Amino acid sequence: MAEEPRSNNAHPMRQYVDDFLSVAAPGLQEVVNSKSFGAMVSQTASNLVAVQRIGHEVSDLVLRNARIAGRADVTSLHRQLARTEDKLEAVLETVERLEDELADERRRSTEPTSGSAADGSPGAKPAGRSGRSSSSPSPRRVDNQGE
Amino acid sequence: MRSLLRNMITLPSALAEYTNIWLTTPEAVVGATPKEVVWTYRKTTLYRYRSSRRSHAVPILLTFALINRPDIFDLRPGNSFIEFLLEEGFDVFLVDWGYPDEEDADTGLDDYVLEHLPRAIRKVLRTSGAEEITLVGWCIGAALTGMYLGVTPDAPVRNWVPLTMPFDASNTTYQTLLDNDEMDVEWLAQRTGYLPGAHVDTVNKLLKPVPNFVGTPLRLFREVQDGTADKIAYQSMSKWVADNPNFPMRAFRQWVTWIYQENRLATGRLRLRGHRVDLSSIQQSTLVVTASNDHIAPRDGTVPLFDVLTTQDLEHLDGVGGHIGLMAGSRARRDIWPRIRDWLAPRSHERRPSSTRSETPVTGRMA
Repeated sequence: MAEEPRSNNAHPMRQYVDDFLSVAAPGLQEVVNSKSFGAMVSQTASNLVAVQRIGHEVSDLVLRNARIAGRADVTSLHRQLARTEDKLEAVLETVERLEDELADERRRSTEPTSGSAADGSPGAKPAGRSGRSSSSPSPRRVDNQGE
Repeated sequence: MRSLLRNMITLPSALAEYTNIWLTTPEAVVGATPKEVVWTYRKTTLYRYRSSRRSHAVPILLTFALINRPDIFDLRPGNSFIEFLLEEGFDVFLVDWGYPDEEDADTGLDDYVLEHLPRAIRKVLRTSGAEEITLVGWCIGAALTGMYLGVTPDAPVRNWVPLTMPFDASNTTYQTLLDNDEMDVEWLAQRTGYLPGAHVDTVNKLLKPVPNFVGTPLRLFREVQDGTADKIAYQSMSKWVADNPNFPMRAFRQWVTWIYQENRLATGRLRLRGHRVDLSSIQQSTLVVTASNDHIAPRDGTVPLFDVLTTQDLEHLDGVGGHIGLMAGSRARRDIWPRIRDWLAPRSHERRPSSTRSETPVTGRMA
């Protein structure tokens, strides 16, 4: 616990600063909440992006002229890898779904027919088995639809 | 006079300690709870935190915003929501959206909602062996989970907990900032792959300029002078605040246009790849958590969600705190987390409690 002399009353300097801030805060808050401040922030973002773009283009030009891969090349390569990963993920999903169907089929063929649904393990099917699957909308993108 | 003299004498050592705290902040331990990688897809990673005393059948999947790191769920040992959930016997998973860069420029909200999140949920189900999960979203993460549930009526989700969710943006500071003629997101989208995380962070801090740029450093210095500074707590939060992933430009454009300029989520006009996001179709047990002093997703902007949701099991937890402080502040462990646990525990049994579905709608405040 802080000792008594360290309270604000014993720190006139702190009191002055606090008083100043308590006056300044609402004023600045009002400025920040104004449309003109929003416009300034937006223009700053645009300027930042423009400067960044110029810098990137110059850097890439220098690197490419030196026959070294630039960021644009890395980005392009990454996108190719991402497309491959999409395909692999789709294959993986199909394989796992088929695994589940096969396991279900096997279980149905080996289990006694009626009323033996309880698996005895609280709360969980065996790991690696998917639970209820959702019929989520198609994962394939339709460009800009709905935007 | 005595105190002034004492301050002058102790000033050099206070300055040295203050500087040390600032300089060693990057070394602070954040997200220390042991975890394992379950699945990766592009920049997204799904982590699992295993509980040594698992007693709840329904695992929890945590999702966070795109503009900060999900480490806030596991801020530091002793003040970690994940650590708390594990101690309470929950099996916990976390989606980490990663650090987007130029190559992720074309990643949009629809990608996160319709590809990354469903695939992560599928992996949680396969890994845990459960049939349903509890979906917890925070900030933009809450909006993403809401969108997912709004387009996936049969989602394998039993419980939904949106934490400080931006919903109705009308008359918010963000709308004032972003809905103006100078904010040409199309122009930005054509010229850059992402909005730098540091820029987003600066704008967020500008919403409360005095507390963020003056108040926090000043308070730390005073605490150092008084000998009451909690170095570990300050550094972990400070490190987390400064860790800002870039906002992929397509997602940024959609977020600004759909949420702040056109307010589509609140007005039911949001469509993802042609599918209408219908929040009224969400039938999961839902606990909406709001923060009384939230200036990022103000409470008044989240409460209209209750006019839209039709689920029979709906509750509202209104806590005292800010957008982040509510769940990660020093009082969260005492005031908020236990209430979330108390709500989740009876809804995380193996069998869905039949009474839950037959309850009359409850929108009363828990706080």
